[in-house]
Amino acid sequence: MSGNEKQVKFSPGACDANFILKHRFVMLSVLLGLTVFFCVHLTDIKMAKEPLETMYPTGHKFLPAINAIKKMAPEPSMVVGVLEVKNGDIYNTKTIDKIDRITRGLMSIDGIMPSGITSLTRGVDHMNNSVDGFRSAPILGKKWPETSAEFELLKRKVAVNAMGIGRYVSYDHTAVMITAKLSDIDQKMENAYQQLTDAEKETLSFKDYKKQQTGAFQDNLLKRISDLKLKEDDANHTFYFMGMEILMAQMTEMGKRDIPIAAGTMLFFVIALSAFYFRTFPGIFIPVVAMIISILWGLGIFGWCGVEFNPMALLFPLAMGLLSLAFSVLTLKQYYRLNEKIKDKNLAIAATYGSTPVMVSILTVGLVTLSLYAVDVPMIKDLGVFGLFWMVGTFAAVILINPILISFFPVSKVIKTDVKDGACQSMVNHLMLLSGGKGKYVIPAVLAVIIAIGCFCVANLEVGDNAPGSSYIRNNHPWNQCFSRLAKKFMGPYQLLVYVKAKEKGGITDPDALNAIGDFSDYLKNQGGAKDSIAFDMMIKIVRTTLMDGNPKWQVIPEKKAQVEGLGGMVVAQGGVESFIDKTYTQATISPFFPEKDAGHIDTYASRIQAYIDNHPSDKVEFYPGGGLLGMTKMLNDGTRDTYTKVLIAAFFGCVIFGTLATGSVLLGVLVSIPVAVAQAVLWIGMTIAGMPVSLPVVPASAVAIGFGPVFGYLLLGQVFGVHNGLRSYNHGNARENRFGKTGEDVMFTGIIIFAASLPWFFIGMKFQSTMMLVLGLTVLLEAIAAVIFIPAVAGWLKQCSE
Amino acid sequence: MSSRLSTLVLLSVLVPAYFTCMIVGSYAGEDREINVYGNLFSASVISDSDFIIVGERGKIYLSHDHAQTWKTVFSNTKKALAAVSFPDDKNGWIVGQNGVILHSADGGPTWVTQSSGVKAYLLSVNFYDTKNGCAVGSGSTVLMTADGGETWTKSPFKANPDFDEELNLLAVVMLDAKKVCIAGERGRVFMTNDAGMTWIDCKSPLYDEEMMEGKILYALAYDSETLYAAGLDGTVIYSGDQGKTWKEAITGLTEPEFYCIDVVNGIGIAAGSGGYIVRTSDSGETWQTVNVPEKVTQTWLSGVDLKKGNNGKVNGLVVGQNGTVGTFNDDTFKWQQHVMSGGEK
Repeated sequence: MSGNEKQVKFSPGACDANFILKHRFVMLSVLLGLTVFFCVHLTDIKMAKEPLETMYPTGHKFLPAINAIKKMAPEPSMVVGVLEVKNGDIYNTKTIDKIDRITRGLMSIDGIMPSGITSLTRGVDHMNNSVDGFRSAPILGKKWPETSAEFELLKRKVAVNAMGIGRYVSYDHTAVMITAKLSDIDQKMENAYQQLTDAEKETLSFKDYKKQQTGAFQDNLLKRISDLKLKEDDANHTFYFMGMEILMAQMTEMGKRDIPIAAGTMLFFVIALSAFYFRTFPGIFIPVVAMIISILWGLGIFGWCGVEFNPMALLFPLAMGLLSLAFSVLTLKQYYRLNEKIKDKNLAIAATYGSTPVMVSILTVGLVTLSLYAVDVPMIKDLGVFGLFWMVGTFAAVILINPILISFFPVSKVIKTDVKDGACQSMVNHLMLLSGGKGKYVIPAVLAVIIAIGCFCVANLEVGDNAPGSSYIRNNHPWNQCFSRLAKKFMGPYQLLVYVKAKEKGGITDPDALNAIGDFSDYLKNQGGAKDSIAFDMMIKIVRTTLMDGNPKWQVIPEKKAQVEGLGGMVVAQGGVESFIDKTYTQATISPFFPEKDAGHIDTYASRIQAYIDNHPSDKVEFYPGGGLLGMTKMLNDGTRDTYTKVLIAAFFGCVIFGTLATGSVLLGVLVSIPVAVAQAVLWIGMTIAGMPVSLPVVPASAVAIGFGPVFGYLLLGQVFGVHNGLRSYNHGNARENRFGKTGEDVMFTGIIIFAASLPWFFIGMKFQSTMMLVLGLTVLLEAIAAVIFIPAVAGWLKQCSE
Repeated sequence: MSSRLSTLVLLSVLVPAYFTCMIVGSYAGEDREINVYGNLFSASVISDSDFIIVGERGKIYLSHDHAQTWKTVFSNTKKALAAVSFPDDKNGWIVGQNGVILHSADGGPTWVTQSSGVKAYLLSVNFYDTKNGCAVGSGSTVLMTADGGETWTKSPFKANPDFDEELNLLAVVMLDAKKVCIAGERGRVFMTNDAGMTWIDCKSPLYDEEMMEGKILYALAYDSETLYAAGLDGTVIYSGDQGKTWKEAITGLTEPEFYCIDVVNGIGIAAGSGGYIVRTSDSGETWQTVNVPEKVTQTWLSGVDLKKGNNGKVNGLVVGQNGTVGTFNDDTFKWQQHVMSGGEK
């Protein structure tokens, strides 16, 4: 009896596997019944209503301000357009006519409030003083400019207009912004639903009706504005547009187009590679079944337990399903090899699927993924929970269902036995050469250097690419093209709001409170790094100046609270200032517009804001930073930084601990974790070189990939000398000639199939998802390569050292 | 062979890593500090090198190096400071919101509050010498002092002798210790020859007595026996007979409001909304538009002060919205760096 047979007999899981095979029909029925049960519960999955909010770390110091601002002034739905002139500026008849046509075009679109459209040709008024007092008239005047002198005068009018430079006209005068408020869609839907007949209402709930109509509304909006763009774009003008409703429509459109293509390509790769590797129907069928069942079980239990699912993490279950596929592929090959050796199908099945490394590997992935639950970001926490459910699903699929399925096929039908060494084997043989001879000394040194450089890189790696909206899609997407123009040419979307709360009700109108707000706003504009800053004090001052014949010396806060209240009433009555002051004059915001959005700059802005708050306490008001795009981005960055650190530590420790438990040796526990460390180090170096920051999707993908890494170590060491025999039995030459090369081939194939299956997702337009899949696929591939190169070399080196 | 390969692998990792580290290490934030900011209302050239600026929320900035660098001076008030006047290089007065009057006896670093006895917004101040001064403001307020501000007396000024008419007075200039000219809303100009005891309506050409309306005059200046007033619609008027008759200068502009004017040795500057600046070299006979950086066209300019320097040339300072500061030296304007840098920082 060989050593392996002894191992089979003593493997605790083998008894369970034997039991499963003995009662395979009952077991299969039960498992398929459970699969159906979980499929039914797929419909119970609760989608997060506010996906973005579940990505904020709980307890972040910006959170109270963000919530308060949201409560104070819910953001209006809006379409923002930018018309850009390629050569010259906007001061010519052709461009002005184009702005007017676009403005009028927007007015005719259903769902856009005609009164809520503002552009240079509508809603931007020029105010000037006259003998009769202050006059306000459209900035283009009754007769639009025609001569160069008239256009020059228009330019001067734009320059002094509060809605001019940086707002509706770009700093360099080559672009204009057009904004269009959307009507209250919810109210509109409610009214429309009321018009339905009772019979119609019975068959269609308001929730479903709203979902249907919202989609139709967004699609129509996107189509109409796209038509407008098509009509107005020419050699010298380009119209860009964006908005939350537009983004939703574009994402839906993108999802409908990209996901089937990516999923189809992924399936093609999986089938083609499996077919190439196994060359049998079960060789393709069994891993794919494992992948599908693990996903169904994971998501089904998710729905059954009522855990919220964030649509941003749409591909996470698929990523984990790929790991199930990998486990299935690996175990299938191991089964084949074992069966070839012991010539006993059932024993081989029982030994393979009941072996400790396989179970520990699944447990490692599941529990390392569960470590995501320890972080403060709800979305990541939920993914941690999914990891646990996936573990159950993968256990069912790989450990229970796969052996039953295999048992139905004759051995020869599962894997062709006459397959020659393929590309994987050739690759492994070449990689193996690296670890032979002097390689066993050089390779550990290279390992140390890679890890050292990787650690240096990760310490300096920027966190970022987390800006809500723009980071979810590619830079060349039309939405982002509009966004980047707004950021570069206008005051821009990069706000880091300061929430202001008066210590007494109505206290914002106290002149001292307004002066404190004004001081802060001025500081931000002039020393805090902001391009500009808007606050309620400025509005009061502008109204006061208007009333005082335009004399700038009256651009000051009145001395008395009652005077401020009077002016405040005039400001509020004009409307559109809800995000700057609440109706009770108790809450306000300061809105600084910053030029940069990278994590380093945001942190600088935030620390300046905090330092100002600490050094300038006010008797009248309290300041809290948070809110705005940069406020949200900072929360996401901080959440990413914090969770990434925690997850990396937990995952590495998890690998070593589970490795130690599985091998019975701390040294071997560390050894099986080497591929993980190398893969991460190379990934960090690559990210640093490519300038790719650590974004939120990197966190769960890394956790899952790290959890998966040790499986390669288990397999390689297990095949070479049996993990329990320790290093004493290791001989590099024998190992290579013996089983290592074959197992290395399995490892490489697994890495390649996961990478190939992830690759199509890298090309989809949804960047959040594609980043997640790329990191997972790349890391697993790197882990496979690292395992083949480093594990035998380090094992050899350790043996040398022990002697 | 394997060692060579290992060296290659090592180099291929180390070389890009080295450059990566260089890139990572070279990052540094570069937000520039601007030490003069906020809305600036008035300025004064104290001496060849010492300049002062006042503005909103009690801001006072002082420069001792010809506006190269500025430091903030503690004013002990959050009220808007609208005007400043330095009759010599030591004594200066600042007036502002809520009847605030501040006095410095050391050229600007320290300021003490003087009692004005009024709550009006004092919009302009002018001192003939270190003793005699006048401040004007909202609600027909005219304050006179003959003792360097120890006591301020409210002048019995009435815009209309027949009925009470509240007039916001926006500008004051002293011709001598007793003679004072004031101007304000509706283009009204008044003179006193007895330190504010009685006032004469100068019958400004901008005021339509019958309709009781006219173009606002925001600023006054006095040089070489000539009075200058600037206001709405690019208007500059001047009088060589102490306000008895006025001539309208042709500035060539109708769009801007001129919020400030100063003339020294026949060289004058008027500035106002939209960053418009006009200058004269012939005592107001002719005016030329001054080209300014684009950023200045996005602001208003509300304070100008000119002074003849020790070298005989005229130095000046122009200030305005959002920390806009320009210096005028020997016919050349120079703008503070952030004004030159355009909209994006």
